Amino acid sequence: MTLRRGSAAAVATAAVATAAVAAVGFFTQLSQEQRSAFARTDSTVGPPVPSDVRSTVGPPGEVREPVLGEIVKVTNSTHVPMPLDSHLTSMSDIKIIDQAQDVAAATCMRSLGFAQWTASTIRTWRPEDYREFDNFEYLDPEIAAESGYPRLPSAKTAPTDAQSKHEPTPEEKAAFYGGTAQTMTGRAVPAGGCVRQADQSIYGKAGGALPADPRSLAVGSRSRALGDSRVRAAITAWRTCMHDAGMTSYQHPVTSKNDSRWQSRDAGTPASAEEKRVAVADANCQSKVNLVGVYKTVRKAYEQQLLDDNRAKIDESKRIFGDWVNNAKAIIKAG
Amino acid sequence: MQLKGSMRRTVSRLGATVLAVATAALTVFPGNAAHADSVNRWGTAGNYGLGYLFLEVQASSTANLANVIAYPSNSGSANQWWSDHHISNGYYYLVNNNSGKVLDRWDSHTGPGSDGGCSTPMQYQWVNETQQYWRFDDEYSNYYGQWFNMWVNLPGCSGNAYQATLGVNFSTASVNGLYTTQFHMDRCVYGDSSGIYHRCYWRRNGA
Repeated sequence: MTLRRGSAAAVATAAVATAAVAAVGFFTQLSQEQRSAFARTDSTVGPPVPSDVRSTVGPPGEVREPVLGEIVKVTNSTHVPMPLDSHLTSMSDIKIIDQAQDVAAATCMRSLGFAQWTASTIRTWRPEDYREFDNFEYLDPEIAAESGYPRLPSAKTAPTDAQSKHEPTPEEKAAFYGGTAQTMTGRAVPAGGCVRQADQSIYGKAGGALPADPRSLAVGSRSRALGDSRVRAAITAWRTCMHDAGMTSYQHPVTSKNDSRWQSRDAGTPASAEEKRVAVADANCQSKVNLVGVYKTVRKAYEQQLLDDNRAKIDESKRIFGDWVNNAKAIIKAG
Repeated sequence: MQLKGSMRRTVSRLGATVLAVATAALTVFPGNAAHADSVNRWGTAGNYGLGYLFLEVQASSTANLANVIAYPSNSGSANQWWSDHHISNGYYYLVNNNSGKVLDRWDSHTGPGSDGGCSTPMQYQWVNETQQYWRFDDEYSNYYGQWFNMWVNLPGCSGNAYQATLGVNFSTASVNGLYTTQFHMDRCVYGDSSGIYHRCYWRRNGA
């Protein structure tokens, strides 16, 4: 690992102080029996004091905020192009890799004698995890007034989800994750367990890190944009606008969109009047402060920097990723 | 084997203590999010008398190295919302919506509180390195009739992926919450009567 952490005396001090006051928090609310039970189960785990963060070499330099050109004005849901768009690996290929991991691990487990293990005994994905999304997207006031926040159709429950499934035993998990050198019947468990063997069958011995995964870089542009002073100022302006509209409880757009009263509503369920009211105010405030436009412009600037710095590595990564997908397809076909 | 037996009994006892509350609370929290993104709150599998606890950054810090803890539900705070970005190798970044920083851990932690040379989970700026990659392992509990998930770090503590499971640390309480830690996998495999080991597993949006 090459990442270096810097001096963080304040953080470490705060952590020490917080750990010291732990006794007045949650822990004291437990019964004596619960408390001693916790202590037994975690007897080797000490307080989370990052006391030696100073022992590592200094942190990567603070990321300088890029100079922005014209701030794009977003007034409809047309996709705002991003520099990495044409370089992104496809979600459908990632799904193939995910599925192959589970199939390869299951093949390994069965070869060790665990006949009940299937590709879904421990799975590495959920059906809803292949959606493209961004932190902020245009919210149409008219649509908000008619149907509230955008929602997806309810995910169909796979037949296996509705049935009893084989639950992994401790011995199986030890073999799966590599916690034992051999099974109780004497079969040798691969180093790192069936998980690592499955990874290697897809990624090769070098492991699953690409020289510059374009999807990771795109996450970086989103992460940096969320912390950028221009975006934070736009969020503050949005919050002020919402307060002016009488909605004082929402501190951030993610909390209005995901209000617990409608977070789980699917597209087949009509939005409540209150959801529509909040969504309209949200849409109007986002429009007023051009939240999406500011965010997309800032994100685009970060992404362009990351693309410029990593172009050759991205090309190499796409070639390697192609090999991964081919390996994954072969595993699924054989499985 | 004595330890394993003790752990099982402990967990069973705790499971019995919290089971009724946990089951009742299932009807309170919404089901899997139907919105069009992967922005989620991650709730603890167990309910420890405060309701389910949710992953967040301590004190809504935006600073690098701030602890990631489990805290009582506060869906109105962006600090409890994480954007889960799936990347090309199938792993995930978890980006905190308040700070914009990502769930992270690092090696070479040798001071007090060390658990095998790795840090407690914290947030850090995105740096495009694998210690910020988390594997999503989903496991079904017949008892609850639902999936629970573990977050497993790719490189693991000091290169040991067997010691890299994000969990709640019962012995180190924060004010009204719990610190998180990285568990050795063998401390997560002994399921209780409900089939899952509470401290190592998470509920998406508390469901």
